[in-house]
Amino acid sequence: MNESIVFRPDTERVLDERFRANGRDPDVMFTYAALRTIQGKFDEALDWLRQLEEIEPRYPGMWRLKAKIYELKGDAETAAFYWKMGCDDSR
Amino acid sequence: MKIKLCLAGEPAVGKSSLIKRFVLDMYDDRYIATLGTKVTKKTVALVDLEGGEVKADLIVWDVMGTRSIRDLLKEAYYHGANGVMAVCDLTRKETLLELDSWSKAIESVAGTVPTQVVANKVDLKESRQVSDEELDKFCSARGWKYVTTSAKTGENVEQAFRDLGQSALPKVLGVQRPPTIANQ
Repeated sequence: MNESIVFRPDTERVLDERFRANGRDPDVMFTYAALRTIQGKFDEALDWLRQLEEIEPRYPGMWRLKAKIYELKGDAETAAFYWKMGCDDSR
Repeated sequence: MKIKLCLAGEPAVGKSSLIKRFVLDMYDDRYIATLGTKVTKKTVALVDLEGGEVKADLIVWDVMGTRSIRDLLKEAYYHGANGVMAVCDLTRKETLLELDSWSKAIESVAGTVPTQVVANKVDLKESRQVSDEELDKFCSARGWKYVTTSAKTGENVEQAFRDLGQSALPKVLGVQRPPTIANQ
C-alpha cells in the first residue's frame, strides 16, 4: 500500500516531532500504531499498542484497533477477544 | 444518561475547535492537527419526551480527519454513536461534498443516526465558497439538518451540539430510559 496516498504526507513528521517532545504521549503511540497498520507493519503496530496499554489502558479505540490488527493478520479468535474488550469504550 | 456524538469531516475544518468552543468556551487560532482520539464530556439539559428537563452527558468523540484513519478505525470510533456532527468548512467547497463519504462510512457501522451538518468558519465571509442556497440544497437532498457556525466567534456552536443531542434523545431514551421514582 502506498502510504503517501493514504496518509497525509506530514503525518510521520508531526508524529516524530511530538514523540521527541514527549516519548510517552498516548496520542502519538495510538497514531503510530494506526499508521503502521495502514502500512501493513502489524507487529510494529502491536508494539506501539503494548506501550500505550501500559500507560493508558483505557485509551479510546485502543482495543478495537488491536482487534482490527488481529483481524487483518487473519487471527479471528484473538480479534474477537479484543473486540469484546473494546465494548466499554464504545460509549 | 449518556449520548455519544461523533465528529466527522475532512482535516482542518474545525472539528477540534468546535469542541473546544463548546466545552471550554475557548478558541485558538493556531492549527494543531488532531492525533489519536479525544473524548470529551459536557452535561447539558435537554427536553424529554414529556416536555420535562433531562440532564444528559454528551460524550463527544473527536477523531483524526484523515480518511485512511477513518476507514481503519471506523468500527472503533462510530460503534454505538447516537448522533453525528458532520463538519465542513465554508471556505472549501470540497469539504461539504466529502461529507457523503463520511456519512457512508459512519452509516456502515452505526446505522442511520441523526446527522447535523455544521458548516463552520462562517466568520470568513470574504473567502466563503458555499452559499446558503447550495448548503440548503445539499443538506435537504439528504435529509440532514444544518447550521452555520464559527468556532472563532462562538456563533451557533452551543446550539449545534444541543440540537444534535436533542435529535438523538428519543432513540436513546427508548433503550436507556431513566429509572422512575418508584423503582429507585
